[in-house]
Amino acid sequence: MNVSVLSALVSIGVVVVFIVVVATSRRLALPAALSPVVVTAAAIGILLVANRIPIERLQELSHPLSLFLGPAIVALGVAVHDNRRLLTAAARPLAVAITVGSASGVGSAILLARALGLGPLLLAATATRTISTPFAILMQTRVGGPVSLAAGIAVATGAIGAIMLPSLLKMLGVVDRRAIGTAVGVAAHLVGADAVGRRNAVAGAFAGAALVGTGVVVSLIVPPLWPWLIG
Amino acid sequence: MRRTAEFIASLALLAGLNTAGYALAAVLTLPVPGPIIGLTAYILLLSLGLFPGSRVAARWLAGLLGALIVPPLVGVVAFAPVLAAGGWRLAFALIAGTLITGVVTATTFRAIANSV
Repeated sequence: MNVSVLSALVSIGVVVVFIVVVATSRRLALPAALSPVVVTAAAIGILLVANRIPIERLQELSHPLSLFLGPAIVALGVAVHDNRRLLTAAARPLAVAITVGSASGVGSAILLARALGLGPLLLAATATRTISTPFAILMQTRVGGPVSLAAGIAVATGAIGAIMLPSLLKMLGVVDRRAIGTAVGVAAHLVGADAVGRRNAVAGAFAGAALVGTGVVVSLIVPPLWPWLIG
Repeated sequence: MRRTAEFIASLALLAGLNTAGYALAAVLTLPVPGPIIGLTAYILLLSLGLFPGSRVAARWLAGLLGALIVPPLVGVVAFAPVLAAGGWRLAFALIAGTLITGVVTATTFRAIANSV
């Protein structure tokens, strides 16, 4: 088969598997931490191993998908615009919390990685873990970091935050849905936003804006500081 | 038919903003990734009331973001030895860092919201 035809088929196949997983996990009401991205990646991973296909081959063939990553990130703007009334009413606390939260997200990742002696690869990969995985992939590609490792760590961060953060905030007496949403959006991006959004629309709106805002803030601040942060 | 045309034109708009973002970053030698500039421009355009019809296509494309990150995510398998070497220290760093970030963000939000 022609390589470009095969490449198109593989790319469409990944999208179709993802759409099926999203639909199924909604019907089965699976916990948000078991995100469709993880399930899709695991299913495709098992398929590759079972057929002895190297992962590099999948990445080569699915290259067309990476061309849509940029436009899809641009499209995220609609999540901010859809909730503009709610968001503009709390613009100041939202903007300050996103900025301070982003800085603490990158700062805590780097300090913990250094203190625990995690080594240069994990240090570089954890530096982008507080931004949503597509943003992390984009930025690691830009600075020449370990893209796949950073993607895995970003997804793990989202799952950890989705499971643990809402109950911790509740224990600490945070009841403001806007504060909870913003915190989960900054610290646990897409998986966390999905988890709180299912329970409360206001929290979901703030989480959506926070994950976009964090992606922008970190992408503005981190690349110029990159050699200094991981050096 | 008109809807299909609008959908395709909207995808072209999003792709155009992405490319324009890359071009601007290259011309001005900005360290910012191109799509971030495109994203900011798109929010600005929508808030000015421009291209309201593009939102349907944008929601659809944003919903497929998960599928686009699957191939790089599958690649994490190649890093299994690095992850295993990180072990409990990596797990601790991820959990502690995520919780610190969340608590700092929520506390900041509350402090500013209550001070107004």
